[in-house]
Amino acid sequence: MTKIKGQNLRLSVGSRNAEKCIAAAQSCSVHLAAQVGDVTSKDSDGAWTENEILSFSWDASVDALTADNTVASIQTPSDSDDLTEVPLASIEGATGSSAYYIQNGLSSITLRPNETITTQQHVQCPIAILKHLGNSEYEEIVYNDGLLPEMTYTNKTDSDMTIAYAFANAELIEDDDTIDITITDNDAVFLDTLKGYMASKTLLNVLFGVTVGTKNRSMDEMIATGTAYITDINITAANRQNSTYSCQLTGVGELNFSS
Amino acid sequence: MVGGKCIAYATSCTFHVSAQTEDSSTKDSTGDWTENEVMGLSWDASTESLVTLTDPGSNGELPTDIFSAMVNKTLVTLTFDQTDGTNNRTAQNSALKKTGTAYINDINVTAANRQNSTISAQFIGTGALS
Repeated sequence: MTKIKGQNLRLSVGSRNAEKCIAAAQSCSVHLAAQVGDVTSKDSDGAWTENEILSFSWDASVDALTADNTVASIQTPSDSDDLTEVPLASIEGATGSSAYYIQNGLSSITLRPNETITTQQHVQCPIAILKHLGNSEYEEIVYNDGLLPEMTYTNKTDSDMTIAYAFANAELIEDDDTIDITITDNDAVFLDTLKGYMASKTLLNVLFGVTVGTKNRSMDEMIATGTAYITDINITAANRQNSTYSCQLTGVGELNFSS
Repeated sequence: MVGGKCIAYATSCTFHVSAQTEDSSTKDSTGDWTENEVMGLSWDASTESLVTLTDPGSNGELPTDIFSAMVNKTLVTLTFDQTDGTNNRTAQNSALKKTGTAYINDINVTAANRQNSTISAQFIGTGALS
């Protein structure tokens, strides 16, 4: 018998086909209830109660740690001691280290003649890659809203070329400017989003099933689906403990079970 | 047992019979003691199991299989009895045996992090228990 561990049974919510796991969940439950009516009457034989199912309802709940979706936050070069190094690009043909990292949101890379830079998929945020043409002129190569796709650029000139990476909605900036970057976890739903759903009375698609993969977030086997409103959010902040919240969903219509 | 099959991977079950009583003490009653009378009988049962999607084999009912019985308002035959044999699923027809028909009126699945997921089911009896 393969028991299903709690961390592999999760609730996902969102619009249809865009459901995401509720992040940092510590527990979840799905509850189906039948409303029963006592139909015992004078016509009933014996002393035993006779019951009848009148209707069904369902609800679900999640208990989770309160967290925002920030993976890393980078402000200025002076904050570099606290920053996560994110490998961004490798350079073929370069002497010395072939890996270049973002430490402060802005990294100027010098390509020598005939060197090729190849970007790697490590950053989720709006980004821009710029080629510095000199005299404060930049050629902009922009990738928005997602993973940085692989891109190569070769310095075909006879002299060194500076490539400047800027991560602020594709804005052009000088080499020594500073900007704010927040790298976010977009693969799950966090408390702020749930609060937004509740406030806007959004009817959510709810999935309940067995999950696998990175952070146990990929739905592998569906057990039940339905639509629901978020009807209760309770945030608890006890001294010297992690802040937690509970989120209640009240089902609307049928809870469908996978056969 | 539901429909002759044990609910597989059960960790606990309960069986509850209740009498509805009424105080029939009157001025005609002697002494200070309340006189009660049984007006009706009702029963219910519950089970708690580990969640698994593994085939329980013969004479076993997957806990999640009872979802469809519930939403289809299926009147199930419930048997509470001592069991033995393979996987403890063979009913012994013991002195404890009770049988009746019931609706499934509540199912709750709980999945706590780093614990086995569990499913609990509530049954509400309708009609006589024999």
